[in-house]
Amino acid sequence: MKLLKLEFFKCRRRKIALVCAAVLAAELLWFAIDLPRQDAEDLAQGWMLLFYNLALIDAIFLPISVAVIASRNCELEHKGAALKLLETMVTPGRLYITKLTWGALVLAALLSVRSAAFAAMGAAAHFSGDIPWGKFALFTVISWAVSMMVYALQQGLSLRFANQAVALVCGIFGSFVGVMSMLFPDWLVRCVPWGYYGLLSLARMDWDPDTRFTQFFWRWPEPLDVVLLLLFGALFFIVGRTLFVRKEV
Amino acid sequence: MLLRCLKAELQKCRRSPVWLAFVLLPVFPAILGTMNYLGNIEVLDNAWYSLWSQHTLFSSMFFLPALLGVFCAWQWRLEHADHNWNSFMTAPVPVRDLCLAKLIYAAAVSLLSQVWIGALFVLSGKLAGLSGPLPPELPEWLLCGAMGGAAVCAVQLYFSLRIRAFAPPVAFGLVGGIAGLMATTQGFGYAFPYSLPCIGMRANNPAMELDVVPFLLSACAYTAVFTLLSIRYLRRRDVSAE
Repeated sequence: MKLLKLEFFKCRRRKIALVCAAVLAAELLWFAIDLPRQDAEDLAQGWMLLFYNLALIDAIFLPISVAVIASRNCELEHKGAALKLLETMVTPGRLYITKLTWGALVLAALLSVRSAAFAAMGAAAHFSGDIPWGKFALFTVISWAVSMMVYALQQGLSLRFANQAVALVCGIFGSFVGVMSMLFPDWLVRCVPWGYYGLLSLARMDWDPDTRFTQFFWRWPEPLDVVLLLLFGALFFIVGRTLFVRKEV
Repeated sequence: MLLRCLKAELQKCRRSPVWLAFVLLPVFPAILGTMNYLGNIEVLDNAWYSLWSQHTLFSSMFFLPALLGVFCAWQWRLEHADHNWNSFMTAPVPVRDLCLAKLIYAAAVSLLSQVWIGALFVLSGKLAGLSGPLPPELPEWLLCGAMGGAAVCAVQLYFSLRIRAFAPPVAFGLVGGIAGLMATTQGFGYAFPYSLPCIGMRANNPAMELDVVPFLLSACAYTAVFTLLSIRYLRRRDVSAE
């Protein structure tokens, strides 16, 4: 607990809130530009469209955002002899878990605000029907879980390499793969960690090549994907932690 | 003086693995673009031109600004690290040359990455079995893309100079690239620096046309303005080495 408090203290002036606000602004802007393009028919299935778009927006913005947040939190340990001092007080394993918890809290806050903002936007755009709170809650949990898996990967990279370019390039690559993952078959997407934003999305699009008609439909995430997500997360966590614990400081 | 600065910068770049990102990352859009082309070959019937549209679809808006952002942030990161600011600012050369040297390398990297993108394009076209002659405009697309990239570099260099951290300017580059795409679709792409590589490379532009004068004007103006801003910042502000 004390360690966690310290993490927040360390990031006091590091403008994490600003980074989160920028992510939110970028996501809202994207959606605000997309919204006027929709016709009445789209608005009728507005909520479904919103969730589909949200999954796409997540896949584009979150990988790099998560990389930035993780990098902001980890790069400060590379300066001076921070790790040398820290590890005289705590075991590296505990420090690693504390940092991960910090990330989990920040991401949870960011994504909750995000979902609330989008629910408000949907209501303001007069989508038909009530706000699907249950779906919003579930969607937030899913985005958070996928982001945490990515965060585990990014934290591992950011702590392993003092040069943050490595982690950032990985984040950019993730954003790119995230977009492309919406276009590729499921089995291929399952192989890349950033594809899970789209894989676990609550709404999907069905494009009929013969009639050229797009249909959106609700669906539940498949159990296989959830299991794979957990496996990916566990793998990144264990590898990242092992590398960090064994690192000479 | 400038020549010496260039030599010094080159030495700083020596043995850095940063080039790896520039070699590896463009390979993926090339592969994916070619796959996409082969998958939709019945709709995309304009051979080399269609392949180019698939290749540049994502690379120009996401990759390039963010990748150039990585390089620019990396260049200033060297100075932000340790006590390098002190030696950087006490070097017996004008601040102008220091800034220009960084810009010149960033622009060179932009050009080299365009050459690599072009090489990948030709290679994947041959592998995909395209028989027709290469589009004669290809060098021009690449050159315009590189010029747009240089403008992005000037902007990114300024932000990386001001923000003493690695990650935020890079994220800024990515968001800028996406905003650039939006600016292009809304019709004011020529006025926005991050749209310039996209416009220069004729991405998402089936007619492959470019208004040369506003493009050149905009690219040169952004490059000049942001370089001047960087120089002004370095002249006016006291550096505080960590």
